[in-house]
Amino acid sequence: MSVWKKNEAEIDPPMTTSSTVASPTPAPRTDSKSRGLATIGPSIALRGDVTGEEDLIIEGRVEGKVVLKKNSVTIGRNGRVKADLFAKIITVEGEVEGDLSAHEEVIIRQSGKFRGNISAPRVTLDSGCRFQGSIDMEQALAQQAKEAKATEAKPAPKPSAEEKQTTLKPTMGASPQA
Amino acid sequence: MEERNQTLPDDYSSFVLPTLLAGLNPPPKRTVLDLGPASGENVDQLAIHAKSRCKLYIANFFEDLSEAGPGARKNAKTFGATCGRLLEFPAEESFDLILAWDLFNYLALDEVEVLVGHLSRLTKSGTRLMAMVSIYRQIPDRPFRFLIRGSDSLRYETVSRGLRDSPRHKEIDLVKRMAGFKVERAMLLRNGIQEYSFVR
Repeated sequence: MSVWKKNEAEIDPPMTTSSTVASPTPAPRTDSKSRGLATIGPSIALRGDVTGEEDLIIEGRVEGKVVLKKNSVTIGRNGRVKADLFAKIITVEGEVEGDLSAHEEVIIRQSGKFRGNISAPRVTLDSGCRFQGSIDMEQALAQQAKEAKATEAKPAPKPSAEEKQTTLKPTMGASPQA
Repeated sequence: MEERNQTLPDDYSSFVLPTLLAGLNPPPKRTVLDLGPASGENVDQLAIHAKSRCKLYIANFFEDLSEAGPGARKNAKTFGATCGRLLEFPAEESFDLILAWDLFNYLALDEVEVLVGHLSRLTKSGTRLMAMVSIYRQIPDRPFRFLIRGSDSLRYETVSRGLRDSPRHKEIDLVKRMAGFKVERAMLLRNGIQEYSFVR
C-alpha cells in the first residue's frame, strides 16, 4: 500500500471491538497532574472515531480517526494505530499508519514506526526511528498562520498565566543523538 | 585508506551539498525525496535552507528493500515492481531534489537503471540527484547514515560493522544508466567517496 496515496479499501477487517468511542477508558489518577489523562490499554482494540477533551495514551489497537485537537496523544510502545490523528501534540513510540496533524508538534521516538504524512509546525525525529512518508513544512506554516488570524479576529478571554502560549517557530526539530 | 572507511563516523566536507541546499531557496515551494533513513538533523537543515517552504518525502529505501527479501530484486522485472511498491508517490508530485546518498553502492547497475527510470516520471528539467560512490574495494555492508551538519558538511554514521565488496561504479556507466540525467558536478573526496550531483 502506498504511504502517500491512501487506499481505504485496504484497511484490515474490523478488530475485536468495533465502536465509536467518545471517551476512552480513563487511566488511574494519581495526582492533579494526571487529571484529564485517558488510556486505551494494551488489551483494548477498537474501530471508529475517538474524540474528547483529555490527553490520551494509546497502548492498544485503534483503527479509524482520533480527534483531540486541544490535547496530546501518545501512542505508547505497545500501541498499534491505523488512523488519522488530529491533536495538539502527537508522540509516537509504537506503530502508526495514517496521517498526523498537530497544532504544535509531532514527535517520533526511537522505538516509533510511522508510515504516513505529517503536518505540524514542529517535527522531532529521534535517531533510529522508522519513518516512511512525508512532512509538509509549508502546509504547517499555512495552518499556523490561519489559526493566528482566527485568534486575532476573535477576542479571547484573558488567559491565565498557565494558559499563555509562546509563539511557535516554523522550524523542524531534531532530537539529541540516541 | 581501506581502514579509514571502517572507522567512520566522521564529519567530512561536501562539495556538492552547498549547491544542492542553495537550490532549495524559495520561491517556489520545493519538493525533496530522501531515499535514506529518517533523520531529525536532515529535516531541520532542509527546513532551514528551504525556509520551511518544502515538502519532504522520506523513503528509507535500502531498509525496506532488505526487508522485502531477495525475491524483490531477483531480476529487473521484480526489482521494478518492488520500486513501484516501495516508492509510490502522488502522480502530480515532482521532485526538485533526490538524495540517494550512497544507495548506488548497494545496487547493481541494472538496478540503478530501473530505480532512476522509476523516479524519472516524477522529475523535471532541473531536478538534481545527489549520489555518492565509493572507490574502495570494500564498503560497510549497509549504507552509511548521512547527517547534514551545515551547508557544506556531512557526518557519516556507520550502521554496521560488517563489510562487503563495493561495485565501484564508474561515472561513465552510471550516466549511461541514468536516462535524462547528466553529471553537474563530481568530486572525489579524501575519504574515497566520489560525490556526484546529477541534473536533468
